[in-house]
Amino acid sequence: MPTKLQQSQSDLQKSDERFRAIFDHAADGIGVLDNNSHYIQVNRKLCEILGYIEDELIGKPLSEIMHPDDHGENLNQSDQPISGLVDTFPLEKRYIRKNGSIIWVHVSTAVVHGPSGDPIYSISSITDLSERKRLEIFHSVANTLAKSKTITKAMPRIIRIICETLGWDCGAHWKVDEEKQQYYCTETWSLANTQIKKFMTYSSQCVFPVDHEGFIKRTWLSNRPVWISDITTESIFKRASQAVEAKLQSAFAFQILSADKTIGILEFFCRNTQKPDSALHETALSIGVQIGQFIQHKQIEDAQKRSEVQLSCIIQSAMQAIIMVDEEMNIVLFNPAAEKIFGYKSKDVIGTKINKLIPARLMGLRRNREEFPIEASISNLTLSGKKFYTVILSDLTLSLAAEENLHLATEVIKNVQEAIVIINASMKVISVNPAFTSITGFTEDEAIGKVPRIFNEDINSNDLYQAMWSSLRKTGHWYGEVWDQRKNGDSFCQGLSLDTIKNLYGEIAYYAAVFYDITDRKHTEERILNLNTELEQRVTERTRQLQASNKELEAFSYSVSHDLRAPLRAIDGFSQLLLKKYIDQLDEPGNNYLQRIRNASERMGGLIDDLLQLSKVSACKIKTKPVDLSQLVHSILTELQETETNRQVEFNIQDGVFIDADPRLFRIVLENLISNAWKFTGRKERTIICFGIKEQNGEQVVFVNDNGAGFNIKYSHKLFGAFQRLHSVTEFEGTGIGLATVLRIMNLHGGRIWADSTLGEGATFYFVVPPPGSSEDN
Amino acid sequence: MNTKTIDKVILLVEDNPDDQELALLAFKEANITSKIITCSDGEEALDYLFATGMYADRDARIMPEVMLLDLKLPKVDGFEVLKRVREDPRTKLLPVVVLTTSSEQKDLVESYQLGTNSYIRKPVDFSKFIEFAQQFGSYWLGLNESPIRRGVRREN
Repeated sequence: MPTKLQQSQSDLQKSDERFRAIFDHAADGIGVLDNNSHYIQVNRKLCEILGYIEDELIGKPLSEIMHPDDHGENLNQSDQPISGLVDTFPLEKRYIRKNGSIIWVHVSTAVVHGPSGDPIYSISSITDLSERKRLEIFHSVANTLAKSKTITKAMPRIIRIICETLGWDCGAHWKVDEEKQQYYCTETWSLANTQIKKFMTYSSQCVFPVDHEGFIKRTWLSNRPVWISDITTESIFKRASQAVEAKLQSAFAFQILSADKTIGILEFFCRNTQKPDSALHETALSIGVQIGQFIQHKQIEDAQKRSEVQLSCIIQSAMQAIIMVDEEMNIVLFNPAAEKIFGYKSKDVIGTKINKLIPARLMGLRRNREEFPIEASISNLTLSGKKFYTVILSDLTLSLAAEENLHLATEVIKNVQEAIVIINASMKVISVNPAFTSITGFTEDEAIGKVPRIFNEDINSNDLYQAMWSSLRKTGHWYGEVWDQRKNGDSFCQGLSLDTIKNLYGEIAYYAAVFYDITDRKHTEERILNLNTELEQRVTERTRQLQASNKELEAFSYSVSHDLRAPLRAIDGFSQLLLKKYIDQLDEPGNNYLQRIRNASERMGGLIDDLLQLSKVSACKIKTKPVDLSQLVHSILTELQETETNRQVEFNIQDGVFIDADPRLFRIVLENLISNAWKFTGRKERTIICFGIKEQNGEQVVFVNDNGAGFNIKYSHKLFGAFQRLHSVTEFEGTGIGLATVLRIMNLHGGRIWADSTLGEGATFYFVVPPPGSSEDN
Repeated sequence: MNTKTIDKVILLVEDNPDDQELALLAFKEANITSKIITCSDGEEALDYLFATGMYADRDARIMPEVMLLDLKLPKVDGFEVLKRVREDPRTKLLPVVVLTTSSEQKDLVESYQLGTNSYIRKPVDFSKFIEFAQQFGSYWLGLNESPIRRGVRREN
């Protein structure tokens, strides 16, 4: 039997062995530290976590292992009052591994006090928090991505989470612009530090070409995270000088992977010197994959949401009725178009049988019991094991009306007399009507696919072509008369109307050419045109001839007035001298002969004067104005009375007789008429001369009446002819030219003159002058 | 006899010898005793007035009292004579009486436009011509004061 002490020693030994076993095989790193916080005992796990071998750790002060920033907390805690045997301080701290990298650990320290109450040693147990930190990051990142609407909004938060969890000062997200072939910074996050923020702002404005060596490119192409312990010594880091200004030291970057493809880079910086850490590498890789997966999910989710919205939009806005029914033919979806077509509200028909709406094949039944033709397509799908049918249907009522319209349009095109040609945008004929064939002789098959002559630039004159296009562009319309050829080679003229026709999208897609045969009309027009031209030429020629003959007449009368009178003067002059100075030497017959020579020469003088007047009247242009005929008659009669003062004359002159005429010419008219009246009443004992105006057959007729010798009415047709006399010279002297002159003047005024007489009892001359304006119409 | 008319010269421009003769006879019948110079065409008339050609020896300062001018003349016609007379300062004021057979309005108007002092149509009746000669003599050689004659007197 062992002794109590032996037993106790044995127990202690056993307990120590057990402790040793626990110590050595513990899942946590455990170290025993002396009062000065130097390791005096370490287990295997602690060595593994910190990257040291046991001998290296023994005797090492904790302060060397612990991150300098975390020292204070620890030291303070060791000073706190101690109660009981063991005090524990569970804390999260950063420890520095042998290779310089940082590791987050959960530290639990137990202080062992001696019997006097003084602390003898402490046992520090540490748990590697890398895995937990990683899970924490995953959790936060997933949470952030789920809550953020877009990746852009999520990314700065993700960067912040990583920075804060892993102890970095700032970070940025980089993507590649495939089009520009360059890397660019999309989002950043940094600590609230002006210098660091400035560096981030600078980074966010940087772009790096994909073919230039650099930190981003290296990370992008590397399968491992890239680590720069000191950015000032790393040549691939292009932003070194800016980073130094921000007092940044270390950089670290890793890929965001989605389906093994790099879709982005996350880079981080901090002011401390951070050594590469394989655990962090692993963490970074899995975070990269994780974020990539989240992004991918997010994108898929977004796309699904979008397509759901799109589908809903399509269903809501479709012109066709969309109805979904389940296996029992109960309506489960009824879109607005269906509501409109059937006249039911969606809520009224959901859950009812579809045959309420579609009782017969391809006929719809509206709420108001009106049947209507439909066109339907049905598809089925299985959702959660249940079968659904989707019916998409169109109301054909309008389509049938459209069809009827189309039929009507087609019939019109077929039956009109005008040729109708439809041309497409490539200027090729796509349709012609029967009238086209009957006008041109070309069949439909011969015409289709050809370019119409009017669109052929080579055939048409440039002016016509340009005018046509200019008008089509400006107004969409052109009309012209165009000569073309029938199939048999005959030329024909078209009255061609061209219009642009737009398609459903408002683009000019067709031209409609409508024409009819105007060849006959054209020929008639040409004939009229030729006749007009010929007529104009004839008129011009006539006018020229008339002008020439007027000139000749002028020259003739000039010559007559000068030259014809000269010999007469000589005859008269010398006869008179003979009669005056040699009367003694002439017998009675000689005297008589001389007297007759003188009379003849006098008559000839009168003849010449009258002839000249007649010729002048023919040649002159009339100038019309109101003429007081009564006053003219008075003045003429007064002159006549002065030549023969011994005659008994009675005048009967109506005052205020006015006409519109040429005053000079009407003086000649009245001189002739009045002097005739004067002359032919010469043998009456008492002369009566009347002048006035009266209405006769609706016309205002001016008349001159006398009670003279008159004339035989059967010779009245000779009255107004030149050199026509109805009396012998011995009865009444005269030249027979006066009334011819009067007639000419009447003709010039568009008027008429005629006479009435009873032989021996007097004569009446009548004349009518139309008011001005009316004569031009004749 | 009208003594006033004795020294005065009448220039008659007339191409027709019959008319020349009848005019002279008519003036004689009308008791006009002034010297009558007869020129048979326009050129001769101008030669007389400006003392050139066949009249080069004439005293150009002596101007006729009045010129009787026919319009239809050989060589230089009456209008041309009238124009030249009115253009020249020496004859600018010379009284001119156009004596013509023409009854054309345009001849009358043109004569006055060119500066004639009177326009007389020759009558066919010789007795009327004598009447004209009498009236002409008493007016142009009697009543009328000629600017030409006065100018000449002043120079003497």
